[in-house]
Amino acid sequence: MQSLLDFITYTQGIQYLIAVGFLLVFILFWKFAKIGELVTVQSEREERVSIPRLLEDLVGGFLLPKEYYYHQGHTWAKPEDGNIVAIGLDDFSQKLIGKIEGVKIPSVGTSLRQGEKGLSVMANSTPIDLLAPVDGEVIAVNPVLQETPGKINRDPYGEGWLVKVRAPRFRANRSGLFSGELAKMWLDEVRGRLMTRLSPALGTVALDAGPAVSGIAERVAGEKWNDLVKEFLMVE
Amino acid sequence: MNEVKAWVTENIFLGLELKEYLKRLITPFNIGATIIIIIGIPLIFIRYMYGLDAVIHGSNDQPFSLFLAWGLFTGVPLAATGYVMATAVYIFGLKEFKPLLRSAIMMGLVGYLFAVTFLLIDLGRPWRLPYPMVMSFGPASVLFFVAWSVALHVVLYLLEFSPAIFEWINAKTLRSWSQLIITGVVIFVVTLSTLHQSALGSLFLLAPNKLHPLWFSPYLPVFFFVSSIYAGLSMIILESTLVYKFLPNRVDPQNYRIIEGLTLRLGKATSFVMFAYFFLKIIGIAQGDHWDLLFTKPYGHLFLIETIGFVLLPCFMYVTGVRTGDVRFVRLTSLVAVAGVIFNRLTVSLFALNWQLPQRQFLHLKEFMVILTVITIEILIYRWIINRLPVHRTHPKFTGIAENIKKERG
Repeated sequence: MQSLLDFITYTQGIQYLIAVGFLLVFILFWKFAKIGELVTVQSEREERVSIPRLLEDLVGGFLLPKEYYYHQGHTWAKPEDGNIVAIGLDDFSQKLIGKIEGVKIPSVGTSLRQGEKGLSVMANSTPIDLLAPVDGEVIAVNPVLQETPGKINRDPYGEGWLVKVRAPRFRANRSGLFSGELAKMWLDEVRGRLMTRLSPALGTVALDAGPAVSGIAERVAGEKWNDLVKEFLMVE
Repeated sequence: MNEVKAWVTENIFLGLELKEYLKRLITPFNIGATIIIIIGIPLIFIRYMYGLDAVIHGSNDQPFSLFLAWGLFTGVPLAATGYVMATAVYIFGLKEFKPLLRSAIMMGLVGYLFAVTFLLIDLGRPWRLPYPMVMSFGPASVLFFVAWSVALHVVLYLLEFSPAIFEWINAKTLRSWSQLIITGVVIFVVTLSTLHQSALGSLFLLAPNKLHPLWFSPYLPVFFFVSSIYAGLSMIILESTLVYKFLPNRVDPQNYRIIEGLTLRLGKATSFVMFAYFFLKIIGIAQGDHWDLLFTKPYGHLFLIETIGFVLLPCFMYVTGVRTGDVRFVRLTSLVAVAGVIFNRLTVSLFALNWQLPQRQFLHLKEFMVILTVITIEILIYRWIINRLPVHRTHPKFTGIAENIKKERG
């Protein structure tokens, strides 16, 4: 026994023993740290962050944040630094269309004109055209949408933006867009129009208190959902 | 001319008129900083006029004094943020950490710049700087190696950070070029970092009889390198906490949604590194067979406080925070971990060096003032950059552009 101890001391074997011990203890440590539970914590927190905005900006069940400008075709424009303007889908169109499966956005350098087609999204394997809210030249497209188009449904005003354009005519374009109280009145009116299409199948959409459900068009018009979408997005 | 003026107003004065800008500068923090600088700058001048001895108390007994113990030995591991994050994102492909990458690189850049500043104040005669580096090579000297690798490091960090600078001055072509070289630069940075973080430890291998045996070990380079990893990770947590709290306008709103998740993941990674480091320290004791010294006063106790109180404890604090999803606790822990690294570096390069001498004094008022001044300037410069350059946010004109160029080129 004594000679073994001498041997270990002499050969510095104790260091190897500690190293092996470390590896064994590390297994326990790894288990203790519970791998894989982080993801849930993160997504729960994400949900919580979006709630305050939800309550503040809710108009008739649809999100309508104050700092955005809205086109009648249910796209939004948000001025950023310089004459850069970000463009996206508003909450109404996103909920009307339902689950967005893909996007077809113009490449950098393309010109968009206010009120004309130029952007589109895919839902139910059908392309849906959108009207551009402002004139401008595309300088950036949202890189994450190609892989996760669902971001538009989850966060239409934030991570779900479509393109950024350089819009030197934004001041002039602004007169063709709704904002503030006017936007609220407009959306109320649109919602009213939608209500007249109510069918028993709709059910929960009409609840004034909460956010509207997704995929309204299909629930209201069934097979003809595409026509309804086109009518409300003004791309007939 | 008007364009220049508009650019200056927008990018230097934060979009304010000069008068308005100056008015906003008067805050309690700035007033305090000004007082410190007014006292400190003359002291730095005195150092250059009358020599190191006039303000800084380095001697043969305390070759580094508090000045370099803080400025170099503590400053460099705390600036490890850049290489740690660049490795995670570019080498390991952990793209989700990208929102924290630029700030990490910038912390590295500013940290190294100020480590150099401390060195320059300590060395004196800055015009002689090329001598040890170029004119008379000292390839057998560890310090020669540190000098070269720190100098290269500053340049590389500048290159790595240059996309942000080019976005700021709106130089699109330069920006796309800088993006092209980045992977090469990162590989270079990582290699250099592994070398010179450990080289700072190697310096003490020259003084086996001067450093207390509990801290002296042939593994010192390994200790320095491994602890710099968790120092960098903890600094990233700490910095993001402070910036997200005190400069919310400089952060992309969508980053607030992911920062908590990222903080937890960083906390977990840090705990693993600290756990391994703790065992390395034990191996260090075993190697020298110094178990008997662990319970001596005061150094044995100091060592126990360091390894248990400032390594093992924060390691388990991190794990606990991660397990319960308590982000605030993880952030608090980062403070303890950073304090631990500071404690370790000050001990190795100051308290435990020449520990056998009967009388030693570590704190000198003038020296302390100079250190405080340099730190204050460092914080001011850091804040200046964060307020102007796209560090914690994407520049609106450059969002998604790099991805597009890549796509178009196929």
